[in-house]
Amino acid sequence: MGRLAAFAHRLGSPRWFFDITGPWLVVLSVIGIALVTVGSVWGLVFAPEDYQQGNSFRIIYVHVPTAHLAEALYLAMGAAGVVLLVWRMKIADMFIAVTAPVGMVITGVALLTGAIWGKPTWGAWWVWDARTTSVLVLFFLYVGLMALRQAIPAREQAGRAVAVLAVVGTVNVPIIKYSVDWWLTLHQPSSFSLTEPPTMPAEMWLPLLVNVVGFYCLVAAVVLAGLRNEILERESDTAWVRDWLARKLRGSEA
Amino acid sequence: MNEFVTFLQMGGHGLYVWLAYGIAWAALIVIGVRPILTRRRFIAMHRADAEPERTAE
Repeated sequence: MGRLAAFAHRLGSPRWFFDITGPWLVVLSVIGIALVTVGSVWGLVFAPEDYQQGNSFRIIYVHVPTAHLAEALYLAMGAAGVVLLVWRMKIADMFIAVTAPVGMVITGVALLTGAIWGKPTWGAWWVWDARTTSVLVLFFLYVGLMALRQAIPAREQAGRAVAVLAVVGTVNVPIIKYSVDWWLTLHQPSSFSLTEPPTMPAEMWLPLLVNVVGFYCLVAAVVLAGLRNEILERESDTAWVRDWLARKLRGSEA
Repeated sequence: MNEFVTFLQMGGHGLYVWLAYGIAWAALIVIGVRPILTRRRFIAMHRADAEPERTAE
């Protein structure tokens, strides 16, 4: 408990967070770029054609990772919202501010790649069924979080209002997750499960796993990079940021 | 060459497959480049703040 409390206390210090995350950013970016490259080439070139869907099934290698991330990022923002509302930790507010636009883009990609896959497979770009509609609601929640922050000029009030919406909006995530089981939908059930072996052969699901991990690493790197910028901006008049700037400027001229 | 064209055509699904991958890759590049530009802009904008410390050396 003592160590956990100490960690939480340190996490409350943006400077400490900034100092330790520099190397993480490099590692996550390199691993992410490598995995997405390998997974995409594997999925496009080497994975066998699906016997029913032909080559259009290859879209799952970009659709499933983005769809997973769309939900995971929202859940992470909901958790950060609780942290902000209960413990008033500034870094949680920065996390929500940085993650909302990234989540919106990722959810947009999940919707678009789903539609592009739906056309040759279902015969329609869009169907108003439980899965697609609940993900569309998720997209609008991301937009709403950004709009709400813009609408309230005082930073602290804006942060708290956005945190409430982030927390309340998480009810949509289980609806997305179980929509394929609760209602009759066109969308197929999950590709991966923790309790059962995949229904696809290994040469199909291995590249998917590589891309899922790769997308997670890349998006984590993007969020981390955004968070570090947010810290610099919010702390720009502190001594440590000025020292950091001086070191950067000297370094770039040497 | 012919093999490559067949690969691009994806058995008639080429348009769908390449469009989906194009959108996904483009999105990754956009969200990846944005923080790099923001950081550069921050350093450029605050160049003046660091000036006194630099001349003091």
